[in-house]
Amino acid sequence: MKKTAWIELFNNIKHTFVSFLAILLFIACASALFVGIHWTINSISLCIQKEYDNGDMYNYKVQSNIGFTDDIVKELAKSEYIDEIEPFHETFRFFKLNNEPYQAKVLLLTEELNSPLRVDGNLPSKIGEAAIDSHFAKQKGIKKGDKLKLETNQFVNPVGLLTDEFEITAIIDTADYMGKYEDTNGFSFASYANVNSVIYLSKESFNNDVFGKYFGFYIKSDKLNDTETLSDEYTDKSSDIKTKIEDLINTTASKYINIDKEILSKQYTITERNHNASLFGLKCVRDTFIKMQYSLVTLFIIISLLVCYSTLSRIVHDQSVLIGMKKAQGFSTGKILLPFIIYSELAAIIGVVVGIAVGYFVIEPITVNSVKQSFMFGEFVPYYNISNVIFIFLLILFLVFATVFIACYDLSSKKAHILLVGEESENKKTYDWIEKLPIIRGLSTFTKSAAKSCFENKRRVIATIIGVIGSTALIVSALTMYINLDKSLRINFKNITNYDKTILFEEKASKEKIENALDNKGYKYTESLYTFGTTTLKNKENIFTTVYVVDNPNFYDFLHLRNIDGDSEEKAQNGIWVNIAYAESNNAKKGDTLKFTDALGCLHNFKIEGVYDYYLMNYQIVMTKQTFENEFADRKYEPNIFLIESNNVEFEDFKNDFASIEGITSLQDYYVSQENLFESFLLIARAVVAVYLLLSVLLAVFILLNLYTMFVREKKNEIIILMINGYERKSVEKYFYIDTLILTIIGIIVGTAVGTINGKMSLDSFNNNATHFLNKINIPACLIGVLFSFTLSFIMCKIALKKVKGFECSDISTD
Amino acid sequence: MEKEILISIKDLYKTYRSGDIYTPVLKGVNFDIFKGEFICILGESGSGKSTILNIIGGLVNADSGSIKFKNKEIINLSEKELTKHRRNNIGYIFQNYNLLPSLTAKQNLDIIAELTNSPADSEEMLKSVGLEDKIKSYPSQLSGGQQQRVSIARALIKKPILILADEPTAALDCETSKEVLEVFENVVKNGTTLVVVTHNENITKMANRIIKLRNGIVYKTIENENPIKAKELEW
Repeated sequence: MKKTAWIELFNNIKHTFVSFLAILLFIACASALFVGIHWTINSISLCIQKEYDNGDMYNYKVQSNIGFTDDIVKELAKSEYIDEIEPFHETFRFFKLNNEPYQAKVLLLTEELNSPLRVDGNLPSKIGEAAIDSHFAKQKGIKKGDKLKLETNQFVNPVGLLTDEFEITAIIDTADYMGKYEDTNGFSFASYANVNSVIYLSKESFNNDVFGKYFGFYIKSDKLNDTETLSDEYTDKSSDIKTKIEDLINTTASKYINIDKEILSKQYTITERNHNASLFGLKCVRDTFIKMQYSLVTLFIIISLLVCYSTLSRIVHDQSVLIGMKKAQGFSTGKILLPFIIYSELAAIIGVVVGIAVGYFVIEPITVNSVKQSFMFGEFVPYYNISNVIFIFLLILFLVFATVFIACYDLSSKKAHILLVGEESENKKTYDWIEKLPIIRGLSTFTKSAAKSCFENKRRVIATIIGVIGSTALIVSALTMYINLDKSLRINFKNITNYDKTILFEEKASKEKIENALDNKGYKYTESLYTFGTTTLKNKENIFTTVYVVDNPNFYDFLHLRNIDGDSEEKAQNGIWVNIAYAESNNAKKGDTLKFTDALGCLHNFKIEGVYDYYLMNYQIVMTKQTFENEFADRKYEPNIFLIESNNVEFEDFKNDFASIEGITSLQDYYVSQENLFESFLLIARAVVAVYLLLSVLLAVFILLNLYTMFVREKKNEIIILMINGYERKSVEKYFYIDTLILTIIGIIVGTAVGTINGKMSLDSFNNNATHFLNKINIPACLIGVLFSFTLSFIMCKIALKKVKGFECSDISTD
Repeated sequence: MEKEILISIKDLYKTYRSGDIYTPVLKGVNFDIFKGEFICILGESGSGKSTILNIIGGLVNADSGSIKFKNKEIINLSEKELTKHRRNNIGYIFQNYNLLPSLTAKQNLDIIAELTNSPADSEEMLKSVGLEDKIKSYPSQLSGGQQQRVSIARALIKKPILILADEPTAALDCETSKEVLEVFENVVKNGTTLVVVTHNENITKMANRIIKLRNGIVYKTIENENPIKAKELEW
C-alpha cells in the first residue's frame, strides 16, 4: 500500500475512531469468550485429571452389604483388567456441634488408592484419631485437636467402631469428594439426611471383626491410565471394562458366597470414576459452559459483523464522491476497496489479539476459580491451544473480509460519473406498489414519501431491521430466561409443592409427640417414607434420586402430581412416578423400566407409571406403599418424614417448636433451601440479563445510530428542500420518525419471535441435569422487550436527528 | 400608476466566516422590489447575488440592515417566523431543480401543497407548464428542462407572492432554457413577482429591471422599458 493510502486509512480511523473501537471491542469479546470458555473447559478437565492422578483415584468403586471377603479380593486382583484393588469400609454416624446435629460418612483410610490430598496435620494412625474434609472443617471452624463424638442410632449399620470419641488430627481433601455441595457427599442411610461431612479413620479405630469382610473395594485398571477421565474415549473404554469386571465379580463372588449369580448381580453396585457424584455436578457446569460458549460467541461475532457492516456502509457512503473521483482517475475496484478492508481487518486483528490475551489471562483463570467456589480441585492448570488461536483468527478475518466486501462492493462497483454527481442521479426503483397498499393509499404525500423511503436503500433498511431485531431479541430472550427461572420456584410452591418445611425422624422418635407439636402450632402436615438411592435408565450413568413412599391420600394435597404423561396418581399402584427433570434428562416416558439401587446396594426394577410436573432441583420419584412393599419384601412401610405447610414461619421459631423432641434427625426449611439453590441460577441469569441489556444498548448505539445518521445525511438535501418550501424542522423530523417507526415495528415483530425462541433455547442451557425450569413464552418479557427496544430505537433516531438541527436552508445543494 | 413596493432592502450587510477567515459578501445593499415585477440580479461569481436571494427568502439572516416584506421587517425573525414567511410568501427554483427523487412529478407538487390551505391543483399546475403527460413520471425519468418545469410548478403550487429563482437555466441548453423562460413569462403575467439571479445577460432582456452587483454593493440599476418575449431571445 502506498503512503497516501496509509494516510487515508489513518484519517478514516481518526474520523470514525469510536466505530473502529467498537468493531475491535466486539471482536475482542467474541475471541475472548471463544478461547476463554473453550480453554476453561479444558483447564477444568486438566485440573480434575491432575487431582485424580495425585489422589490415586480409583477407576471403579464397588459397594455392597453382602461383605467382600479377602479371598474374593485376592482372586479379583489376578484379572487382567484389575491392576490394583483395595478394600474399604463405609459407615454413617452423626455428631453435634453447638447442639446442632450433623451427619457424617465415615470411611476407612486406605493406603494405596483414594489417597488424601492437601493434608494439613497427621493422618490418623491410632484408635480415636480422625481426619475430616476441609470444606466442612472450614465452614464450621473445626481445627486440628478438636474433639468429636460420633454417635450411631440405626439398625442398618453393620460396621462397628471401637470408640465414639475422636480427635481431629488432620484436615484433608480427597478426589472422591471434591464437591462443596452436601448432596454430592450422598445421603446418610442412618438418618435419611444429607451427609454433611466425610471423616476418615485408620483401621485401628474399626472393630477387628469387620476386617476380612469388607463393605466395598476400589479398583484401578492400567488400561484406562492414558485416557483423560472426562473424554468420550474414557467413557467408552470404562464402560466396556466395567462389564468385564461385573462378570468377574459375579463369577468370583458367587463361588465364595453361596449365592446365585443372578441374585448376586442385584446386591452390589459399581460406580465408575467418571460417574462420581461430585464430578456429576462439575460435568453439569461444564455442559452449561459448552452450551453457552457457542451461543455467546456466535452472538458477539454477529454483532461485531453488524457493527463492521454499518460502520463501513457509512464511511463508504460518506466517501462516495471521493470513490467516484478515484474511479475517474483510473483506480481499480481492488485499490478502492483496499483501505476499507485494511481498516476493518486491522480492527479485527487487534481485536483477536486482545481477545485471546483476555481469554487466557483473565477469563480462563477467573472462570476456573469461580468453579472452584463449588468444587475443590487444587491448583489451576492453565490451558491453551494454538490451533484454536489460528481457527479464531482465520474465522474472524474471513468473516470481516466478507462483511466489508458486502458493505463496500455495491458502491465501489458503480460508475464514476454516477458517484461524482451523487446517488440521486441514478435510476432508482420506484416502489409504486407501496402507494397502492390500502393502509398507505389514504395517507398524505409526505407520509407516503417517508414510507417509500424505507425501500430505497435496501441494505440500509435490512441492516436497520437486523439492528432492531438484535436489540429486541436480546432483551426478550434475557427477560424470558430470567422471568421463567424466577417463576419456576414460585410456580412450584404455588401449584405443585404445598409444603415448606420437613422433619425427618428416626424409628425411636415419638411420632405422636411430633404430631402433637405440629397440631399445637396449627401446621398442616402429611407423612411419608422418605428414602433414596441411585437410578439407571437405558444404561446411562447412576443418578442420585430421592423417593417418597405414599400410604395416605392426604399426601397428594402436599405434592400434587400434576399429570404430564400417564394416568392420575391414584391409578399408579404398581409402578412409580418420576419428575419431569428426571424424564427430560433421561428421555424417560411412561412404560419405561427404571433400575433403582437402594442405599444398601440392592437393585430393583420399577415401571414408570407417570411423569409429573416439577420445577425444583432434584430427581424425585414417588411410589405407593403397595409398590414399595412388593419390591422391598424385607422392609416394612414405616413413615420417617413429615411434610409441613407452615406458611413460611421463621426457621428458628420452627426449630424451637421441636427442640425438646428426641429422635428428630433433621429439620429442613425446604423453601429456603430451594430458594438458595435457585439464587445461584438467578445470579448467573442476572449477569446474563445485564450482559444482554448492555449488548442491546451497544447494538443500538453502534448499529442503529450509524445507520440513522447515514440515513439523515443521505436525506439532507431533501430535508432542506422541504424546509425551504415551508416545512418546519419538527415536521421534517416526522419523516425520519415514520421511517424509524416502520423499520422498528418490523424489527420488533421479528425480534420478539427470535428473542422468545432464543430465550427458550438459552433457558435450556441453564437446565442442568437435575432441574427442569419453566420454559414458556413470557408476555411481560415480550412487552418489556418491545417497549425497551422501541424506546432505544427512537432515542437513536432522535440523536441522529440532532444533525438536522445543524442543517441550514442555505446548505442546499447547488451543484 | 404608482408601483406598490413588495420588498424594501436597506443597508444590507453580510459576512461569512470560516474559521478565522471572514469574507464580507454584502457591504450595504439598497434596492426595492415592486409587486408583479420581473427583476434580474446580475453579477459575477462572489458578487453576493445568491446571498441576497437567500436573505430575501429567509434562508439566511443578514448581519445588519433591513428587509421589509410587505412593510414587515424580516431581518432577525425567529426560525419559526422565517419558516412561515417562506411557506406563505415564497416559491423557490434552483439551478439543479432539487426535486425529491422518490416522488413523481405530481407528488413533488402535492407534498408542498399539503402545507397550505388553498393550494393550486397539482395536475392543473403541471398542465400549465406543459407536463400533463408526465404527471406520474419520476425525476430520473424527466429531462433537465422538464425537471426545471416541475420545479417551477412546485414553486407555484402554494400560490406565492414572490418567486425566487437561482440560476434557473444554468444547467440547461438554449432551447430548453427558452421553454423554461416562457413559463416564467406566464408567471409574471399572472401577477407573481419574480426575482431571478443569473449571470446570463440574455435573460435580463426579459426583465423589467436589472440590478447589477459588484463587490457586495449595487453598482447599477437598469430599467428595461421594453422587455422582450422569451421566444425572441437569442444566445
